[in-house]
Amino acid sequence: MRSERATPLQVAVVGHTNTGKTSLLRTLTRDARFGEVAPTAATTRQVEGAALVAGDRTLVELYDTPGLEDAGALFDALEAAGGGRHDGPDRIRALLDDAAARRRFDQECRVLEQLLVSDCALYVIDAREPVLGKYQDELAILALCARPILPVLNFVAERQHRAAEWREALARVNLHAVAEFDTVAFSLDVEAGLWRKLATLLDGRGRDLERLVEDRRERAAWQHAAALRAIAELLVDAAGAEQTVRTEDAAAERTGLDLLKKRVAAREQRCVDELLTLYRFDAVRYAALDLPLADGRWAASPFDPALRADTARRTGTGTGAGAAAGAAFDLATGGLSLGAGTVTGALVGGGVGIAWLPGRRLIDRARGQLRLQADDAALLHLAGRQLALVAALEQRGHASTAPVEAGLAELDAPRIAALRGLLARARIRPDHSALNDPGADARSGRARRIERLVEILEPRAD
Amino acid sequence: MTIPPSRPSPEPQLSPRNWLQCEALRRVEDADGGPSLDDPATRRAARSDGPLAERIALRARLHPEGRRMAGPIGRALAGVRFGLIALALLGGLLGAAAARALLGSDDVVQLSWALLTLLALPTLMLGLWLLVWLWPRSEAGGLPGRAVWLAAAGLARRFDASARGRALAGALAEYGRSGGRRLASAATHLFWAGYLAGALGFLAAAFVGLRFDFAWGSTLLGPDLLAPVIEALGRIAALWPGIEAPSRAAIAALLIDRSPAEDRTLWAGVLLALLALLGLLPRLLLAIAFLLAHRRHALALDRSRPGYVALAGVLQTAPAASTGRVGSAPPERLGQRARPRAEAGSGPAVAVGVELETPPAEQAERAPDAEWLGHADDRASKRALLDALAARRPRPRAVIALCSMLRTPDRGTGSWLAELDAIAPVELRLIERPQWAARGGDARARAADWARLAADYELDPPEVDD
Repeated sequence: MRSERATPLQVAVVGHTNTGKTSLLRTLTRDARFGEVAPTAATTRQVEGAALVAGDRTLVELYDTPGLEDAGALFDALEAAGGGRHDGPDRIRALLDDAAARRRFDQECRVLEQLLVSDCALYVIDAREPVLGKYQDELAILALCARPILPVLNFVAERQHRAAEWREALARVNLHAVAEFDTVAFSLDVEAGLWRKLATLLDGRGRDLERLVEDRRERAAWQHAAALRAIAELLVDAAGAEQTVRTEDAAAERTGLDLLKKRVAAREQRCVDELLTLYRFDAVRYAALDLPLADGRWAASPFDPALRADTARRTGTGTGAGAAAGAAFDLATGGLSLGAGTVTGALVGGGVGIAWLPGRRLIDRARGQLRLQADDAALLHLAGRQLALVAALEQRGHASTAPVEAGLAELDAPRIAALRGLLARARIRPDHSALNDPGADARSGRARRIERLVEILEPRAD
Repeated sequence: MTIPPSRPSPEPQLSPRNWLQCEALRRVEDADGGPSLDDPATRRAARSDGPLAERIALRARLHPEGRRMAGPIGRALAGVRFGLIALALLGGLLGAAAARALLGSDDVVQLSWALLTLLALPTLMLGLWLLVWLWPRSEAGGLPGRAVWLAAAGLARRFDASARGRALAGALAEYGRSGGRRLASAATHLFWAGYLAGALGFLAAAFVGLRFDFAWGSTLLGPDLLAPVIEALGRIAALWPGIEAPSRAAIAALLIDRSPAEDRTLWAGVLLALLALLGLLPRLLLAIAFLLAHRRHALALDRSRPGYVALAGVLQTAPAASTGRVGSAPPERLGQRARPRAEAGSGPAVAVGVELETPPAEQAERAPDAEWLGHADDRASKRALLDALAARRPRPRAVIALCSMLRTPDRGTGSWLAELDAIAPVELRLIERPQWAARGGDARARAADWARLAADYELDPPEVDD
């Protein structure tokens, strides 16, 4: 689709000091390292730009500006300088040309200078603040620049905000289009609303901004799919991970259990790192809880329902493959042995499937060995907290400086049942775990299991 | 204003060779802890134009490990092609063997049995394949086709036990599982087309060089039921150029005993035409269609794979990029007072409230030791308070400025307080600490901010109430 204009939309992000302008840029750019954020005045002292890219094109250029701090005195200076009602930009330019005014109002002049060369402005408001006179002075001065202004109410996720009071005050100065955007508690829909609202103030920028919204949505969908796959791979690896110990040696068993826990924990940390990188939060540290790998022992009874189900599944597969082999044998003999060959093939295929699985356990027992694996509780715990981490990262603005706190995602009963079933099957295939076999990734059974896990992990849209 | 939604950009597709190269390299690197992100191939790909998949493919082509994979991938694909041919030849041999088994020693061809073994079985398998193909989420491309992939992947793994061999085997298996579905189907149809061609060829050669009579034997089914079936089959066979539909008399003769000598050519032609039209032709057309579909089909990389996710961080266009700072460097110091501090007067202290959230009626209670002068919330009230203070005689001993911890101290407040201080010494008192704490604010840090402002404007450090 052709865009309406080739040049990126220039947006100045302005507002009183310490209202979250740099935070807004961090969230919109998904860059937790942009600028400097601190709960004090004048943290940003210089205009700094960031380009928002969709595909190979820069669609928007955002300019973070220093906070306005002395609008009252600036307003007095503008009034003292005189000038007509209809030549706001000229009055601002005259002020910018005045060396003494520039010295006194250094921050404010940088803001105004940037706004004059921008297409529009986002006026960031700390919605917890009352509508003070100094803020109204700021709006009056910014209006002199004759650029469309979209007020952005920040901190609206907090309980004691004054969004209604602000909306009323803004309507009094003809600013009826207002966006609510919390830079700490992020929502993709709210961000889309911000861009769409800005598009209503501008002529011929709608398609570019819609493309930006679409790009952000596509990226989010890709991130989500990749996150679920990362968790599914972790679960298959952790479920299949096993540690062999001697049965009559309690110390060796404990050492083996510790080693298994460490291997699973290291694998989980890799998943966490992948998720943080994926959501561009690599600077944030996630304090993983200790893995509740209690017993570590998985009952390897041949009467275990999961084992039997898997055996049945394998028998089915084996029978099918065997029967097909038999059919081919019939063809080679011109159909004269039709029937006999098929039955033999089915028995051969099914027999391999049945004998293979419990056999290994019996051999282990005969050798005096025991294989330790993660139990259901540990694996469900892993799934729950990784899902919670993904949910936390998806709702976290890049401006947030608090540590990531992710608990356990709540899994409904059908999902738990489906997960338990699938993980039980994953357990009896240690060769599908990359923690045991570096070539596990090549196995198509592992790939199918991961795909099925992704489907289970994806919450249903109710 | 409604904005028409833009169409999402289509996912770029890769050729099988490129796709396998990317996938095999990803598997090698994943096994090694993830892709290297700082090597010449990655840097070169990051500088290139185009969508992420193309950049990943370029990186795989430039990467030394990817280059080493190119040869084995080419050989594996050649092996797959060889497998297709071998499968067709095997089918041909099996078909010829099946046809051979039909031609008994008594020089009589049982047409019913010949059609059952040579035509009904492949048709049944075709039906099964169709069912699996149309089944939602099915991966099957037919057993013979899947066998080609499994064999290719298995051989790659068996002959090269290195990480590269395992990766290539995995990539081939993955391709066979998802992307190679069309090729696997083509292989299946090639096998059966070979089978029918083999049978046809063997029968045609036998009919040219040997003399056979034909019969339609059945133990269970009578002539009344079979005659219309044979007539219908005859009409289908007559679609083949040069083949005539058998007459009712010929059908009756066939059902009673072996066909008369003059009908030998007719029944041989019908059998061959039926095998060609109902057996070989559909399989051949399907094999060609799937081969063409495979040639035209390109594959998309699954970008949600961890290896690609890590690469995306470097190769994908970032959602945003800093464009740097604008304008001159900021001055060292921002706030400066214009006038010196006043001496303390002899009058009683006065108090003012600065941008407080405490209700106006309660503000005076926060400074019981002073006479309440008013609150400063906007330019007009600030100006009025300055005027009122300047007009007071005798001049106050001090001005107690009640400021809120909820407010970020700013230059506007600092310069106004400095103006007050030029009339009477200002004593700063910070209140509303509980409200600031309720907002989750750090009282000590905020008090320090106010202390810094006071220092900038040469005021006494603030006291913190509550």
